[in-house]
Amino acid sequence: MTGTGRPPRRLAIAVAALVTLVVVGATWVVDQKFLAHATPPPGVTLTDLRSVDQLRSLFDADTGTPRLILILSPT
Amino acid sequence: MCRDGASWVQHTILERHLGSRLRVYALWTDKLPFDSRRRWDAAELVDRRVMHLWDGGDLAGRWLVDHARGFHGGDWDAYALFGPDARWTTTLAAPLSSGSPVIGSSDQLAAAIGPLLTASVGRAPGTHRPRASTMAA
Repeated sequence: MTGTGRPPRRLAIAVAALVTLVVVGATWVVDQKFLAHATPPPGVTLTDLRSVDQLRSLFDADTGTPRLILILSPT
Repeated sequence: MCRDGASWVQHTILERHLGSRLRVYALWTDKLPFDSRRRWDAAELVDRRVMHLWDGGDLAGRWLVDHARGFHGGDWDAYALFGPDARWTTTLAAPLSSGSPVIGSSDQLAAAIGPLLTASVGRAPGTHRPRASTMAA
């Protein structure tokens, strides 16, 4: 009966280590897949749209050319 | 879905009509849980005729839904196609075609944009063919 406390303690340590490993791994995956800074191809830039009037000006400046507006989300 | 639509536009429209005049405004907005400006990578839309604009608040999408006559898309993952003569002065001209999602409406978009691209082949970017009456004068 002298060793009755050891197996549960070892089990608890093993479980804690496993949980830590899973949390660290999941955090890394989420960071890489969903939070990391994406890199656009060279020469492709993103401009902030401040107002609908800005889009209106761009649209009218390109009169004479067929125009396609796409509304997209990055992910 | 949005990325599929962007990729489709690049490969099926832009790459197959390299000599055609077309301006694409790609408005990127914040709709899904992990969307953000830093997550933007152009989603394969790399043609020089594409202008990328970050519209985190979806100003344009909401405006189109609320105000654009004849627009049949949603406020994101949507498209609106306009001919060369369309103007947006006080009101925006009705689109020739519109819909959402982009990839789900690709057949409709391809059918509508095809004649516009064929008609504009061979014109140099930035030039607009003058009307016959102007040429005669």
